[in-house]
Amino acid sequence: MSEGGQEKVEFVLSGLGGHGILTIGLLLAQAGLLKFRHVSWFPSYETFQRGGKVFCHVVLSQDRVLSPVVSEPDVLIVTDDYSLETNEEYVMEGGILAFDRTIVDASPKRKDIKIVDIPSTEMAKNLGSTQVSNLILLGACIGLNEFLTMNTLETGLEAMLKNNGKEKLIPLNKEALNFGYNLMKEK
Amino acid sequence: MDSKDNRVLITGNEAIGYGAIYADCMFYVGYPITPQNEVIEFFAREFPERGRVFVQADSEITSINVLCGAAAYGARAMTSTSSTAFSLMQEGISAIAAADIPCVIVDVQRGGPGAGTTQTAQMDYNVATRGGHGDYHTIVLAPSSVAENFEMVQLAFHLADKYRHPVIMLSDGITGQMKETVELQTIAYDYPPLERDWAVRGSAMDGLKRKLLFNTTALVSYYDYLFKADKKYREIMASEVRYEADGVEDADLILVAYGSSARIAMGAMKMAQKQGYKVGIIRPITLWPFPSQVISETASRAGKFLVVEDSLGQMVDDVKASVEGKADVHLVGVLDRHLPGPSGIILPITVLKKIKEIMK
Repeated sequence: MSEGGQEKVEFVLSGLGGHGILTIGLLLAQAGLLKFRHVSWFPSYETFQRGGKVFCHVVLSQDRVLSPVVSEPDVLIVTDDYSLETNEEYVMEGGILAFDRTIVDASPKRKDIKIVDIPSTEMAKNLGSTQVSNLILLGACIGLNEFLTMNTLETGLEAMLKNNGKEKLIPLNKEALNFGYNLMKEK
Repeated sequence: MDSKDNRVLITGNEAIGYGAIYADCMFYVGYPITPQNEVIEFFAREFPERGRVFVQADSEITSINVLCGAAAYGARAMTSTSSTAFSLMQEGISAIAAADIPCVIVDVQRGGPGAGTTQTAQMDYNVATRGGHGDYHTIVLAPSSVAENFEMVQLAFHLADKYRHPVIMLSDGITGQMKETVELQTIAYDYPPLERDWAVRGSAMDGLKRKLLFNTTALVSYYDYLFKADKKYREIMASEVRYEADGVEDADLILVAYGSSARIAMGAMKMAQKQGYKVGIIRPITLWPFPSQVISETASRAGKFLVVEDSLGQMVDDVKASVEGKADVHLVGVLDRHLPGPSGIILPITVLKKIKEIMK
């Protein structure tokens, strides 16, 4: 069982190159390994140095993952208007939709899902780097539903940054994750 | 998780590399192309430090011919590429088949035709299963998971040796670039290792001169050559058909899909079963030889087939031929992707909608 009790959790993360979409997907996959038997991370990106369309689908499951391609995510995180417009309809009823109000102009229409509407790029800038905006959004989703505990995510985050030789980024990344988490947890 | 956790989280493309290491492949040649770049990157990084040979060719035409040379020398050898450049290799593959040289060729499919896109598609079914000029076949294996990428490279080398023949592994952008959990282990095949007494290594070895003949009529009559080739292909067709079937016994509708589309179809099957539909799946693991018999037998019971493949429809023709008019055959293809751009994919829910439409 997952820490939140679910046998399977599905995520769709979508935005533009440079937003850290693939990175938070990998973080979910790495941390997910600690609590789930099966994990899949499916990325798609255009051949641009930055700014191309990027998305990834992540499945954490105790049983064999049938489709690594997700139709109805429990959590959708988007960081551009196109991603919001093309993915909103698919979110599972009662699921979570999180987006970065700083760079997304459109607003979601669904009333049957939980919405995280926060200026995460602005918030990240205040923490010290716009690059941790993605982690604020992820932390906020976990604040609403602890599919994985913050402890598990932090363990995964540390392992991932250490493997990439980026130890010195660990404190700021953790701070961003917790900032997002506390934002929603307090509500 | 438990303390004996042997799982690794790797991409399908990396799994191809690990599969080659576990299969004792000693020689890799290739040229970069998306979405198989992680394959060549793996070999460039991992092979030299293990004392194995990595060659970056200057084109895929060079790749296939260098592969031919390395395999003719008797090495377990392979190459990998993506669609656009897989076309370039067809002449070489035909020659390798003519000369009975065992080796492995991986195609991680992208969108075409022409240079097409760098993102996933399944548009090389025809070229992989039909190939280049002349009467020949290659065994074509279709992995649908990262674990199968790992296992099937080992299987591909086993079959290449068993039949002294090139084997193609047809992966795709999704299966290649996604990460999944895998437990790495060697697969043991109950089959004697290939005597490579035919290998061309120069007369210094034992004073004998050896040649591998690409000109099929150099030593025997053309008839004799074709007769022998035909015998080999019949043996393969009789012994090597592989597929996964699930829920077909009492199904009203049978899904047929390979590679990443099979995973998408399985997701849709589960959703449909939850809503009370009797849906089963046949997943071809060998695309050649194609599992025609099981499809034909199933068609006598189930009245409807739905092929899911990320193309305008290629494998669907083999399904129709196997069904022999006994059932309706429908297609969910590349035009059913959720986005119009190259990032579009076929979603399980799209397949579910089609199932419901057909079952009305």
